[in-house]
This record gives sequence, structure tokens and C-alpha cells, in this order.
Amino acid sequence: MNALGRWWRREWPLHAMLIPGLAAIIVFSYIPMAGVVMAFEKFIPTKGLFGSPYVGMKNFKFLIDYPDIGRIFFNTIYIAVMKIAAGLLVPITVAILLNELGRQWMKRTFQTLVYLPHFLSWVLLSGILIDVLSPSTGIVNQMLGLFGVKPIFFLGDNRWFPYVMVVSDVWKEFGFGTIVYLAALTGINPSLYEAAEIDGAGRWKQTLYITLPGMMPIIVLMLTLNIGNVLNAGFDQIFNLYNPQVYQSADIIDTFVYRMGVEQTQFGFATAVGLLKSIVSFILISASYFLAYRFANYRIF
Amino acid sequence: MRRKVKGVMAVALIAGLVAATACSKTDNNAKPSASPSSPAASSSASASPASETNQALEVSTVRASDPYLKFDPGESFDKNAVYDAYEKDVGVKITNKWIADASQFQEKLKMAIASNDIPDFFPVDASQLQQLIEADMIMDLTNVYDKNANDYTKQFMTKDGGLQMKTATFDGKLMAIPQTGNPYGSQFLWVRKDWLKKLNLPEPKTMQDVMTIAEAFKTKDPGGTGKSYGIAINKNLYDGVTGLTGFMNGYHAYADIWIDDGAGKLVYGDVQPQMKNALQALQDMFKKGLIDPEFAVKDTGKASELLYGDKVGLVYGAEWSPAQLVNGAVKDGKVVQDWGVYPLPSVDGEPAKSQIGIGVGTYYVVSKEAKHPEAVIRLLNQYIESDNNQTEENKVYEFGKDRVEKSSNYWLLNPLTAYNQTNTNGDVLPNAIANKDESLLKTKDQKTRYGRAMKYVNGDVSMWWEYMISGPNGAVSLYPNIKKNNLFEQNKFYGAPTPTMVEKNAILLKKRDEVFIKIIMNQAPIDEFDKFVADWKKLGGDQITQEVNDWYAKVK
Amino acid sequence: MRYRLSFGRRLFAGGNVLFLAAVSLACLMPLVHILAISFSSGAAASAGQVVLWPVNFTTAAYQNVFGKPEYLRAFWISIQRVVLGTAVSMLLTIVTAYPLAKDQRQFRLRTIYVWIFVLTILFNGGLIPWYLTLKTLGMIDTIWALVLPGALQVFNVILLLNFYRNLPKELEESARIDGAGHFSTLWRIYAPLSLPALATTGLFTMVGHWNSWFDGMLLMNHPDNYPLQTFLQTIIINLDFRFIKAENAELIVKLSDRTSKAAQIFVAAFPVLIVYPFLQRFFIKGIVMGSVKE
Repeated sequence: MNALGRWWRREWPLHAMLIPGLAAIIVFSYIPMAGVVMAFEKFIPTKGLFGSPYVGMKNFKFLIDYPDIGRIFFNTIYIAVMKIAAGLLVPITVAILLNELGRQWMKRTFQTLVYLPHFLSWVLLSGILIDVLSPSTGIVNQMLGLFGVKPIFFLGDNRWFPYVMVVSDVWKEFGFGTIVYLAALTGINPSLYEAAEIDGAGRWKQTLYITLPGMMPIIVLMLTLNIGNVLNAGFDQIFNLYNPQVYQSADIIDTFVYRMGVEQTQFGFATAVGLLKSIVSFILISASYFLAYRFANYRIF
Repeated sequence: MRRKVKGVMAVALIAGLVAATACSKTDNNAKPSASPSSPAASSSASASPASETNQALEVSTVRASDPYLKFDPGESFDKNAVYDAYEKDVGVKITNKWIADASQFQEKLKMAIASNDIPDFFPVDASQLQQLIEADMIMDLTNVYDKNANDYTKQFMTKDGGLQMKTATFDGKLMAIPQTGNPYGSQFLWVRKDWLKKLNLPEPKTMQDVMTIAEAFKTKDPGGTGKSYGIAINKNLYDGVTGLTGFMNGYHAYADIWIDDGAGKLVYGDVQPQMKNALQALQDMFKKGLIDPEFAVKDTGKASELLYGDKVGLVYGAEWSPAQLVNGAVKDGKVVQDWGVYPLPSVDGEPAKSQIGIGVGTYYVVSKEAKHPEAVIRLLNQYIESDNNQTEENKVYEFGKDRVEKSSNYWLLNPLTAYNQTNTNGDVLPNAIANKDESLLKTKDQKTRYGRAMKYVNGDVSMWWEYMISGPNGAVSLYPNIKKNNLFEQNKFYGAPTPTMVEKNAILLKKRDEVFIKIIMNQAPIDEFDKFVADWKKLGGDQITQEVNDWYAKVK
Repeated sequence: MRYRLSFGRRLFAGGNVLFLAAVSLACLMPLVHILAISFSSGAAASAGQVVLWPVNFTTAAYQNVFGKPEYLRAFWISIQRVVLGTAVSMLLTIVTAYPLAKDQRQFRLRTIYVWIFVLTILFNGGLIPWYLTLKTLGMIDTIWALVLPGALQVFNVILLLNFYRNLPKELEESARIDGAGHFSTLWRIYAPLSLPALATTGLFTMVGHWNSWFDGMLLMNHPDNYPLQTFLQTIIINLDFRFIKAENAELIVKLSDRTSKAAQIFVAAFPVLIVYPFLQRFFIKGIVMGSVKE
């Protein structure tokens, strides 16, 4: 009893601090979460969430029974995994390189510029990409032509399409990641660098032994959170750029769900797919969390 | 300076905190009732006490705002001359539950339906109608319509023999009022006339002519760009302009509609042998370099750049195609591209028929909870009356309170509309425009189009497109002949999607697009088409055909 | 501290500048392209003639965007939304991240709490129940519908709590010894020291509020209450070319107006581009060390 009282006296401010945040997520996340029951029913608005007829696993079965589903899952995971990897490496590299710049104004200018594509929508960028990647007139193929490479139909070729998705997505979004890693860089204690300098360590060694380890918590965190996106290959982007010619390599879960929805308003089906994605990300994220804790005694978040 | 900013921030923070706590309080009060039934909380702030005195029937609806609608001073969507006129003339007071921009109306409506928060009456599309019937949210209007629609309305709505009304009838019950319209919109061939003249080519009459012209446009490059092609198409094969529907119709192939096989059975156009011929022709064109090899990644806007840039001078499209072509045809206040419009050329002696649908895209439904369904029919009566028999009095429904045309588009305020199921634009407009004879004009649409075409005649070249549609040599001038010979192939299936369609259509359409595009691009041999037909049948096509024919037997 | 840099080091520095400049240029090009389109004539733009410089210079597109009286009202609503939304959001994030940054010994239930928050990133019940909840709370058509539902961004909380954890432990201990409680430790030590992280999360929150348009469309029942981005979306008309009727011809003429779209994008992105450089002064190395030395 006494121990409990002491514990309460010591910890109550911490609990109190969480009240507003908890209230927000209970109201705006947990209560609406009841909507996942739609995955198991044929939702009828007049009957509401809990009165609509129950259909069991029918919505999931519908997804699994689709003839091309294997291909679709493969495409989704293939593109998403490459995006996750590239989306990690590129911003880290750029953040470190930016940090190496001596002049503040340069650093600021470049940092602002790389964030710009984030503001452009895929509807718009798709038009620009089609021009830039055109085999006949596009600048990319003209440059490749200088090296004797034959024109490549990047957006119409199943061998190239997934990589174009990865590169263009990284190009659009790496500015966002760069900002996060730059913030992490500022947290590294400068005296560490001074000490290394005195020990005669070069810039490369400093990066390897001070900068990277210093950023590691954020890197691991971002990786863990991104792993959850393994079934999100980027709907807006692919929807605006794909075409029947590359269905084989470009059709992903979300584009498939979209095409299903054109025919009909399938709330149950859409919710079922959403739930499936959530479960997969939950498993992956919690696995990496507990592995990191178990073997490195490290808490990711 | 910095201190000031901090001060502002602090105030904002405090304000936020207060608000946050205030909100969590309301939350406590409201939490238990997660049920969607709280119509009282509807936020329409228009409970005007004035309406209590006269016994007007109140009905609520939802509206899409429109960039072309310009309100008179002091008026708004909630309070305007048109709504007032309905209240005065037929005793119906219209209130708006919400207003959304036209581009976002559908999204908002979907949410309203899903959360069971619908107004008394509102417009939906065919699949939403189906959904609302299944969810039992809308009213059977059979009796209400029967009792309240006047004879003129009843006649007006069934001028097409009742086909459009039938599409809103389920199991003998009228579940919605169709927004009637004219289905007879043909596809046309559009060709650069200046190029034909330059290269001394005949006007296209047969498919062979089309090939000759396309080849000449490619090889002789009249635009002088060095990058010319024969025809402009885009990745969506059935778009209204830069699509292939008209091309296929020239081969008597009908894309994505159900046609009678001559023996009283319905068959699907995409899997008929005529489609193979059309694809074969396209593949040949592709091999000759007449089609942009990058067409498969371009949408309509992107593909149109070829037209604007003088690289292509031949394209298939609906009568409104000039609205797209105008971007390249008119430059710096001058018409720089001379387009001509031609009826669909045919591959053989038999004239080509243009494929068409039923002509209804929108349905007005009435909520089961509506207290005054008869008010909706009154609105319909009044609209049809005012639109077709215009008097000085009812001009208010078109122009607002001062009853004169000032291009403010007040007619958009009518919450429920129905249009003529046939139109006489083809007989009337080219004549009226050629002779500048306003007295020939009958409908509002004709008056609007005449006005725009006259602007072109009087020197406003930006209105070139309307002149190309409605003028003496415009697209609609070809209609009298098309109608006389009945060169239309109408979709024979207008029922709700069958169960197998719902389940299998996505995969069937994907297969079709994949195979067709590969054949056109010569990445697959033409015989791939036969394999596609076999796959189509196996993957659910046979079953769908069966279901469609069961339906056909019932309605015949 | 200045000493001569080695040759290799200078070579690297030069190469680095060149490389980053090239990357930045690749990021800048599309925006320049869009800017050029927005100042070009409609005909030149739709024929695809505009590359990086306006063709037939005109400001008609901007007159079209700014010419509507609704513009100012929508702008004002957006300002309110960003200021209010960012303030509420940052306050919530700062306070929520603090207890969660404690280790298990100091705060026994932290891991459970963390997972309660993380689960909300992973699972959601879809738009319909979310909308129904907001409707039940009576928030539809009020500014709170735009501000409160997204007020707690769990991603930002996690980012911040990681930053808190990396602050030197001695700081907190010395504050304890001085008799400071949790609240004053947070305000006097943690918050000021985590300025770079706060700038980051603050930026993301602001940009998020500024850019989002979908919620405005869904949750506002009257266009008078639209924030700027929702309003700007209405300028762009998207048509499905399969379903156009002859009566819509006028819409198509308007649709192909690429210049207005381009101007719209620019008008929308501009304020953020202005604010961003000001936030950057917080991304300065070594704040932590400086304060420990004092």
C-alpha cells in the first residue's frame, strides 16, 4: 500500500501530462476504429456499423480469389521495399553532405530547394515525368544518347517501370527525410568532433564513428516506422503513371482496390484491405521493436 | 520584434488550450450517442419564421455550386429568386442541407449516404441509385409520381417510349426520377481541312480514305514538324476525344456495350470478330508509324498536344471535340488550324453506326424519411413547364428576378431538371446561325449556343469551338442525315450491374485493356485476340452473358 | 579555429558543392517549369511549348486565381487554421512526448502508453466512422473540425521523444536537485533544448495544415467555410473524358486551362516557401553543448 502510494506520488504528474493526448486519440482514433467491423460485413448505412449483416471472411476471400492477386502482391512489396530502402539511404547521405557544407547560406538554400518537390502533386508531376522520360524527346534519353545508349521507354516497359517509380518517389520525398536527419545531426555533441580532430581522425572517420552512430536512433526509428509501409507502394504516383502496357509490373493493391471501387461502392471490401495492411504493418513494426529490445536492449520508441 | 512574436504565440497557445478543454467537455456530453440518427443537429441555419405563415411544403436538398453561376446582389444559394419563385408558384420551400463545389460534390455525397445523413431529395448516379435501393433508404415514387405529375410532365418524360423511365424502375416500382436527356450523340471524324487542301487529298468517305490521309499526313508532314503521326489516340481507348470508339464503329465493332446478335440474344461488343478487324487495322497503322509509339502513357490532355503542335491532323471524337481542339486552333486571336468534321467512314459498303448509351446519367431520389415527396414532383412539373413553355412570368427560372439574359446562368439554381430526350439542334442551329435568324431557336440550349456562335461570327475567335459544333458546317449539321438513316447502335443493356459483373468486371476490363494495347502496339500478334475471347468467356464472361440475357428476356 | 585544409579535403568540398547544387537544381526545375507555365498564354501552355521560360508573358492566370472575393476569406480561414492548429498541436506534442521519453524505471507504464499511441498510426476504421464521430461532436462546419482531429500527430510525438531521450541525463538530474518538478523541467530545460526537433515537427505540422484540402471539403457544409487549399481545388476542374456530354463543352474549354492550375499550385506553395527559411535558423549545430557549459 505504502509502495503504491509512493509510486503514485512520484508518477502522477507523468500520467496527468498524458491526459490531453490520450483524450485526443481516444476520440479521434479509437472510437472511429470501431469501423473495422465493416471488413466483416456488408455495410448498409441505415443499419449502421453494428446492425449491418455479417458476411464473415467473404471480403478477404474475394481479395485472395482474384486471379492476378499473386502478381499484385509481388508488385506491391517489390516496389514498396525498394522505396523504403532508397528512402532511407538517400536522405541520410544528403543530410550528411549538407552538414559538410562550410557556408550557412549554401546549406540553407540547398536544404530549401530539395524540399520543393514535396509540394507538387503526382497529378502534376506525372505530366512532367512523361515529358522528361519520353523516348523521343525526353531529356533523360537525350543525355543517355550522348553515351550511345538506345532510347528507353521508361514508362512503357515492364523492366523499367518499377525502378522509375522508386527513383521518382525518392526524388519527390527525400527533402522531408533530410530535414529529420538534419535535426538529428544538430543533436550530436560538437565536443566529440573536437576530440576526434585532436586524435587526428579525418572527416571520413568522423562521419563513420561519430556522425552515423549519433544519428542511429533516428535512423532505426525511421526504418521501423517505414517498414510498416511494406504494402503501401504509393497509390497517387502509380495511378497517375501506369497504363495497360505495364499492368504486369505496376498493378498494386491500391490500384486494384480503386478499379474495384469504380464499379461499385464497396465499403466492406475497402475496409478489409485496409485491415489486412494494418495487421501486416503491426506485425512487422512490433517484431522489429521487440527484436531491438531483446537483442540490443534498445527501445526504438 | 521577437518578443512580440513570442507574445502572440503565447496568446495562441492559451487560446488553443482553452479550446481543447472546452472541446473535451462537449465530448463527455455527447459521447454515448454514436448512433447516426441526429437530424436535429443538421447545420442548415435557415429556419426562417416567415415560411410558417403560408403553408409551403419544405424540402431539403444538397447542391453543387458552379463557377459559372453569378448571383445578383444580396442573393445566395440559400436565398435567391429561383427558390423564391418555386415557393410562390408551387408552394415548395427549398432548403440546402449543404453546398459543395461541383468538383467535390460526389465525394461529399458518398459520405452523406454512407453516414445515413441524406436530404429529402438529391441527384445520384446509377450505381448510387442501386446502393440506395439495396440499403432501403429511398422511397418508391410510383404513386406519388402518378398522382402529382401533370399530363404534360408524363408525356415529356416518356417521349422516347419510356426507355429512360424504365431505367429508374425496379421490380415495377419507380425508385427515382431520371434526369432525362438526349442520347443521340454521334462520334465524328475530325480532319485538318487545310492539310487536305495542301496535299490535294479527297475528303474521307471510307476507312481506306482514312488510311490514305493518315499516311500522307505522316509521310508528307504538312505541319513541318518532322515528328508527325497519322492519328492521335490516348491510353484510355474510349475517351470522348482522342479515343477510338469512332474508329471501331467504322469497323462495325462496338466497344463495351451489349448489342443484339440478330437472333434475339445480346452479345458483348468487345469480343466480337469485328473488334479483331479494328485491332488488326490499328496494328497495321502502328507498324507504319502512323501512331505515336508513346500513346500508351499519355492521357487525353497529353495526347492532344500532338494536335495543338501541328504534328497530327486526324482524330476521332464526339461533337464537342472542338472545345478541346480550340487550344491549338486559335492562337493570338487568329484561327490557325482549319478543322473539318465528317461522318464516320465505314470499312465496307454498309454505313457506320455510332454507338450510344441510354442517355440518363443522373437520377433524382427521394429519401424514405421525406415528409413531402409530392413537393419534389411539383418541382419537376414546374421546371418542365418553365423550360419548355417560356412566358414573361416564368423567365425568372432562367434569368433571376429581372428576367433578362445577363450570362449569370441563373438556370443552374433549379434543383431538379429534365431535358428533352431528342433535340433538334442539328435541324435548327446551322440554319439559324447561317441566316442569323434568331426566330428559329426553340430551346434554351439552342439560344445559348446561338449566342456563342454569333460572338464568333462577329469577330470573337475564342468562340470558334461553338461555331465548329453548331455552325453551318459544324458537327451538329451532320445530325439530320445521321438521324434519317438511323446510324446509331444503342446499348441494349440498361439494367443494374449483374452479380457476376460486380465480381468479375474489374479483371475482365483489365485483361481487355492489356491485350488491346499490346495488339495495337504490335507487342502481341493479332491472334492474341482469340485467346482473349476464350479467357474472357472462361473468367466470367459467359456467366455475365447469361445473366444479361436473362434480364433481356424479362424486359423485352 | 582555422587551419589549412588538405588538398583531398578541398577536392571533396568542391565536389560536394557541385553534387548538391546538381541535386537541388533537379528539384528546382519542375517548379520553374510550373512557374513559367503560370505566366504563359494558354495556347502556348497547352501546346506544350513552355519549358523553363514563359511564352507570351501574361498574368491572366493569377488574375483568375486572385480575382475572386472568396480568395481572401479562404486565405484568412487558412491562416487561422495554421496558427491555431500548429499551436494546439505543438503544445500537445511537447507535453505528450515528455512522459513517454522517460525510461521504465521512472515511469513504469510508459511502454504500454507508447503502444496505445503507436497503434493509432497502424489501425484506422476508415472515413465513415470518423466522419460520424465528428458529426456527433457537432464539429462539422466549424474551424475545430480542421484543427482538433489531427492535433496529435503520433509520428511527431515519437520523433520528439527520441530527441528528448538523447538530451544529457545530467540536465534533468541537476534540475531535480534544484527542486524542479516535471512541469518546470519540461518547460525550462527540455523544450528550449529541443528547438531543432520542435522546428522540424512544427514545420511538418504547419505544412500539413496548410496543404490539406480533403478534410475541408468533407467537413465544411458551405463553401464560405473552405480553407484556401480546398477553395483552390475548386479552380481545378477534373473531368472524366468518357462521360462528357455535349452540354459540358464549355467546361472542357476551361479544363484545358493549364495556366490557372500552375498559378494555383504556386499561390498555394508560396507561403510555406516564405516561412521555411525562417525556421531554418533553429537547425544549428551545438545548441545542447552550449547550454551544458553554462
